[in-house]
Amino acid sequence: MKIAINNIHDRTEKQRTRIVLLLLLMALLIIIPIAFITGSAHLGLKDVFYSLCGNASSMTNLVIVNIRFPRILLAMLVGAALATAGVVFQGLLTNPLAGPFTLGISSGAAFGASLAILAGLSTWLLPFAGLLGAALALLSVMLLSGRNGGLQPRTLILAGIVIGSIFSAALSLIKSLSGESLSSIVFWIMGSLSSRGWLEVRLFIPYLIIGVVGMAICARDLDYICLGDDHAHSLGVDVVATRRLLIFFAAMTAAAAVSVSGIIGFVGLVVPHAMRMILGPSHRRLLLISALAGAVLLLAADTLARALSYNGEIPVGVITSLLGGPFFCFLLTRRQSSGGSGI
Amino acid sequence: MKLSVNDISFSYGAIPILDQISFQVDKGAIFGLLGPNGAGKSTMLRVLNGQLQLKSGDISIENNNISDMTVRQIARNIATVPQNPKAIFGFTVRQIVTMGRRPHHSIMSSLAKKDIEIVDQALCDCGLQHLAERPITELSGGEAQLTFVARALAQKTETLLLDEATSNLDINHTTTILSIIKQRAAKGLTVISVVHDLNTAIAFCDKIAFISDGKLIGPATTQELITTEIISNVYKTKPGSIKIHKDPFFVESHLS
Repeated sequence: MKIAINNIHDRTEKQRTRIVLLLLLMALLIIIPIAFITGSAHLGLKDVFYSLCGNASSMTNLVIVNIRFPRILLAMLVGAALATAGVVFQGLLTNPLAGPFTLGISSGAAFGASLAILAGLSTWLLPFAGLLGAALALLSVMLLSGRNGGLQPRTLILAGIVIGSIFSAALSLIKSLSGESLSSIVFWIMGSLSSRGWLEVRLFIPYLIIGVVGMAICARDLDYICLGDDHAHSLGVDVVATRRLLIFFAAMTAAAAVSVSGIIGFVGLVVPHAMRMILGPSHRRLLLISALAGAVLLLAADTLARALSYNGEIPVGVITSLLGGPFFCFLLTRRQSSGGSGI
Repeated sequence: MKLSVNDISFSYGAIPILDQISFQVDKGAIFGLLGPNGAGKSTMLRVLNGQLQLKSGDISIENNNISDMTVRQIARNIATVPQNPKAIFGFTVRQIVTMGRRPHHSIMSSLAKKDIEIVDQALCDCGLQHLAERPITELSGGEAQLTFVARALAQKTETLLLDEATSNLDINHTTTILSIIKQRAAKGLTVISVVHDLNTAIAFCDKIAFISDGKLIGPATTQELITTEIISNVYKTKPGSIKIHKDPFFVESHLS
């Protein structure tokens, strides 16, 4: 294993990118069929094939086309969203331990959605309430850290912690007042892709496309910004404007992901970190490969969540955190043992 | 390229940093900015490259006012080597030097053959070819600083701003960097450099000026400005703590 990893490191970045891309595509090709046949209704690959061709029974069709297909798609899209937002936040905050939720976006979204659950609004309104809560949190962070030509990494992180704490406290208050809705709120916060359908996919896609395209356009300037404001300015980058755009696109992508799936931890931290170690720090490349890696990871985790379900489903957020935590420890120890900078 | 600074003032909030300062730097000259810590030397460089907005006055390059230029246009004319550039992520030396070509391209365009040649030349001039594929995070402070000088040279501007480019460097890296800059100045590069060490200023600069209490003292030659009276006024040194020798010209400091 060690030899294999070292060999990968010796290759040029382009070769490494090609190898990783190929491995991820192969992983996706293997996991997608498994995801289609995993679940409480026992269906084989033949059923899936007939159903997608429109030649299956209405019950099979319902399961494959209206339940599993959108869920697979949503898992991949949410994974890609969290990973790309993680790449941008790590670069922007020049902190390899930052993630899509560092600026309090998740707390804001959870607050919005919980308020909607408490108010008894319909389920389809929850993503909008989550988005509104996230927008409120982000706006507060930007206002708090934007003074004096700011949006500096340190101020942003501090503002994110403060605003996140306030929204978490408000969330606890809502939970204590919620009575019968408590379990719905807790389940929503834990992060899950169960009971999501085409509505969530349709709702999510526009935000994802705008967010990822926006981040990809600004990604090269992010390379310069993470070397310092003086450096970026001397290369002709309008630092404050670019930083504002990147925060907007990354936060919107992460907030939309939280709004449709709840808080799924570690994908946005582990994927960018691991990809940066393998591919180097160029953000444009990192962004696109991390999107694919995030999609693979979350689809695998969600498939595992369904496979392990017993007497109710394990939320996928629990799986990603349980698997992501030890993997992250492995990455850290590897980095330390190689004496390296590796990021 | 001639750089003119006309009656500029700058303040952080209510605190004035630069107060009605004027000077000119001729094409191919090396101009040293000196002064005590916190006097506003780095602020002056940030004002010169348009990073900080002036309260009053104007700065022009060959009669073009920089306040009328976009950030990218300024970057095509002025390169800056910032003080202690930080490198948290492991960009390779080549990647960082290549960044110098950014002002000459749109956000979506890729590098041309000419850009690669310019980058190779900058790496070669700074003696960095053997480190080109190494991550900056694995280099010594001197090698990293040299990388950022090479990046500024790859920017191919006619004016270069240096913010203590040789601070914290050993004598070998200091002389390497200063020699490279001198050679480029001889070919017409206009250089404005913040310098801390008076003897470095004597060896390196054609003209110098002190920034003290927001005002500029100078510009003039090092022989004219580095005198016991001016130094003790600007740096508030104790009597007898420095001695200035005239032949050869150097500054000696004494520990009390």
